[in-house]
Amino acid sequence: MVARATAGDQDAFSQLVTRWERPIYALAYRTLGREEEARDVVQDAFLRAYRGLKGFKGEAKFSSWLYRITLNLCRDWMRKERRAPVVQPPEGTDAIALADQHASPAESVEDLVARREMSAAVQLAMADLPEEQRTAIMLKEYHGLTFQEIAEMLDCPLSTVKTRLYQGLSVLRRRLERQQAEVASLRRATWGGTNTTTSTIL
Amino acid sequence: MCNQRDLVREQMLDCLYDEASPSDRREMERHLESCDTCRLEIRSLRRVREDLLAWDVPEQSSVWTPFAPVAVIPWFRQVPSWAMAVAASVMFVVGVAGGGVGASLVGSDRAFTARTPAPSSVANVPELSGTSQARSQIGPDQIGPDQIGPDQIDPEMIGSMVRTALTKSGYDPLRSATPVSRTSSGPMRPDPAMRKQLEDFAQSLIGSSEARQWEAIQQYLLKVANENEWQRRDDARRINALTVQVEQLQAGLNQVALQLTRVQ
Repeated sequence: MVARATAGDQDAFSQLVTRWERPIYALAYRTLGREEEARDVVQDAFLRAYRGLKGFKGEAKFSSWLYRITLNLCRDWMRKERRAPVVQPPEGTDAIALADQHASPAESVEDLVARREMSAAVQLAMADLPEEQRTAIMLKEYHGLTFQEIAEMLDCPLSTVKTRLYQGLSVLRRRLERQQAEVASLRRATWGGTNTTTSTIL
Repeated sequence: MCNQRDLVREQMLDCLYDEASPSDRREMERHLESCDTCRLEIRSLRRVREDLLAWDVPEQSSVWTPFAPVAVIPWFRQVPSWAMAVAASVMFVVGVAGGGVGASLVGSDRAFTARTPAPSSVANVPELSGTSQARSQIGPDQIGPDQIGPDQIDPEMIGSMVRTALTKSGYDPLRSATPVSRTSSGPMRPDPAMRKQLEDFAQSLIGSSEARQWEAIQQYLLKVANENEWQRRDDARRINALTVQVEQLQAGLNQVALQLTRVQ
């Protein structure tokens, strides 16, 4: 399909877009923390890819090439805006509103609340990481690239990638443990030390 | 963490992400049995990885739309300009060839001589017959080879035809969907059937690779050239047959004129 797209087949390129749009958006969103900007970056990334298809020699995987374009665009955006990744305000843990939105029978409302809290905590902790560590974690954890692929994409030695990943995970672990401790402490203060669950709130 | 920190850390990450070789994995498992620090370390890293899964991404509709407007763009704007130019050159070549056949028919002095015989000019009769006989057949070299081969059509020839066609016809495929209007003294205007055929052909090229388009253009050009060649040969045969009939008629007229002269 990549060969067909490179030869100018628009249908093939559209299929590639369909295949990779979601991962590319996820990478842009997690890097920038903003939905609108992430959408713009995805649009730009595919336009650049389309224009640059002739120059794609197939030495790297098509996905790695797309990821690299996306990361460069995100970096440009952050440099231009002089911004660090934005952390979206944590979504409210209004149990009643969540119960209304809750559609999956496999996940309880309590689990949903916990997952959203954890999502916000992870986002916050990731935003504070140095860019290199954040990128290494994102490419490894959320996109499943091998260490070798990440090293080639970021033009750095394999050991550097592993060091960045390890350091990033270590920092995240400490921050998440601290945040979880703070949340637990806050709950104890608010609910008098009871093990509050959504069912008791309702 | 044990003393061989960096080495063990790398091996630990390889195991954590399933990138360790079987032997490295066994070695790490042996190490973890004896090292509490590393065992705790890898356990906490696994927990962080699980926490990271909680960060989901909002659902989004597709943001990719650049190809969507293609449906409202006229077909001729989707065809590569060189393909349009080649199609125009095909029309031009067909027109020129058709004009050539016409000229061989209309431009011959034999035909005019047959239409305007001079019955009273008996002295001209033998010469006329002789001249007619000498000119009555179109020679094989004028008919040309039976078939035009693919080796006779190459990109350079196409390029030359394109330039000639664009220069002489004033046809600009990027500005107009139809050829510019032509005066009666200009090149032939293609008939609707031919135009439709060319449009269908050009549309069939949309979306094909460049190599496929070149191949299709070449085949099309070859087909048109061969069709044109057969048409020219057929026309030449008919012209020959007509010429013979005209000459017979002319000879008869000369006989009548001769007898009239004798009667007078």
